[in-house]
Amino acid sequence: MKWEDIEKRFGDFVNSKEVTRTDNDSESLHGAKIWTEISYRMSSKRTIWAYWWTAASVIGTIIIFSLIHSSTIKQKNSEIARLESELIYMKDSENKLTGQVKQMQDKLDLAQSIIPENKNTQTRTEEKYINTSGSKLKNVYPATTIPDSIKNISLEDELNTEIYIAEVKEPVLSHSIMTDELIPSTTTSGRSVQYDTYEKGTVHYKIDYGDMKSNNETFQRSWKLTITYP
Amino acid sequence: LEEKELISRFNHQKVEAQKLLFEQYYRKMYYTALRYLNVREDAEDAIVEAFIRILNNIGKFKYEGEGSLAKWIKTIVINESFRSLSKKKRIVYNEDINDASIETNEDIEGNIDMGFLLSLVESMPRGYRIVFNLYVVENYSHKEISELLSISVSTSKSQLYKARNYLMSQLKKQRAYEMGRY
Repeated sequence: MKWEDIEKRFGDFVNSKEVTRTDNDSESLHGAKIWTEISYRMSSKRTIWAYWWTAASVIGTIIIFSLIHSSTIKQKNSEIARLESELIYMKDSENKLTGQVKQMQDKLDLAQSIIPENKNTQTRTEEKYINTSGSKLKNVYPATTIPDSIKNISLEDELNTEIYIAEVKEPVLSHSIMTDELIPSTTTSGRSVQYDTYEKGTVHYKIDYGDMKSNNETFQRSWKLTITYP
Repeated sequence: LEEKELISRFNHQKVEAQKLLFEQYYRKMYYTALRYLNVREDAEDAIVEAFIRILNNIGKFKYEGEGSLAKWIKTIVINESFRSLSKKKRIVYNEDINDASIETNEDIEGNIDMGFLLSLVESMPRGYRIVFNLYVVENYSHKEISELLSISVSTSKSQLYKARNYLMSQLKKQRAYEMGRY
C-alpha cells in the first residue's frame, strides 16, 4: 500500500471516528457540562459587560453634565466679562460725554460772556408821529433808546413817500415794518408798505402814502420796525 | 440540521440556535482539540473558549455552501487549541533530518490497522504530531501550517517528513514483529 493512500485513509478514519466515538451517555453528560460552562461564561461576560456599560454610562453622563456645567459657567463668566467690559466702555463714554458737555457748556458760557445778551434776537419798536404839514419827523423816544446795533434811523421825506433807512452794524436775519398802528384820519385809504432793499447792513423801507399827504390833512401815524439778528 | 437552516435560526431563535450549533459540532470539535492538546481538561478549556468565540462572532460568518460553517468552526477550534498550547508549553520543532532512514515512497505490505496507526500518531513527539495532523487530517498546506504555528515552510515540511519516517519505521517494526510471531 502506498504511503499516500495510508495517509488518506488515516485522515478519513480520524474524521469519521471523531463523529462516532462520542455517541454514548457519558459523552452527552460531558457535552452538557461544557455547554453549562459556555453558558455561564457568556452570561458572565454579558453581566460584566452590562456592569461596565452601566458604569461607563454613569461616568459618561457625569462627564457630560460636568462639561455642560463647565461650559455654562464659562459662558456666564464670558457674559459677565463682556458686560463688565461694556460697563467700563459706557463709563468711559459717560466720562467723555460729561467732558464734552462740560466743554460745550464752557464754550457756551464763554460765548455768552462774549456775545451781548441782546445780540441773538433784537426786537426794537420805534414809533413815529408824522406831521403832514411838512417833512417833520417827530421822534418820541430819546436817542439813547436806539440800540447800539442800529446806527441810525433816518427819514427821507418826499411828497407822498417816506423812506426810512435803518443802518445796522451787522447782517440781520429778518426785518419788517408795520404800520398797522396807524391812527386813521378821515381818509386813510391808499396806504401801502413796501419792502425796498436790504444791503450791507442797511434796511430800507419805502412807504408810499399815495395821495394822502396831498389832501393836506392832519393825521398821526405810528410805525414799528422789527429787526431780528441771527 | 443543515448549516443554512441552523444559521437562519440565529435570526429569531438565538438561544436555541446557539445550543443546537453546540450540540451539532461540539463532539467532533472536542476530539479535534484533543488531538492537538492530548489532555482532556485542556481540550475542554479550548472548546469552551472556542465556542464562546464562535457564538459571539456567528454574525460575522459568511455562508459559502454546505460545509463552510463546519470548516469555519474547525478553524477557530484549531486556532484556540494552538493558543492554549502556546500558553502552556513552547513547541520545539526538531530540524535535524539526518536520521531519515526510510523514504516515504516505499510501499507498506498488507493492511494497516488505522486504530494502531492512530495510537502511533498520538505517541509521536509533539512537533511531529501537530504538523502531521494538520497536513493529513485537516488538509492544511505547508504555508497554512507555517502561518498557524509561526514557523517556516521548510520547518513544516521537515516535521512532516520526520513524522512520516517515524510512523513508517514503527509500522515496519510492527510488521516484522508480527512476521516473527507467526
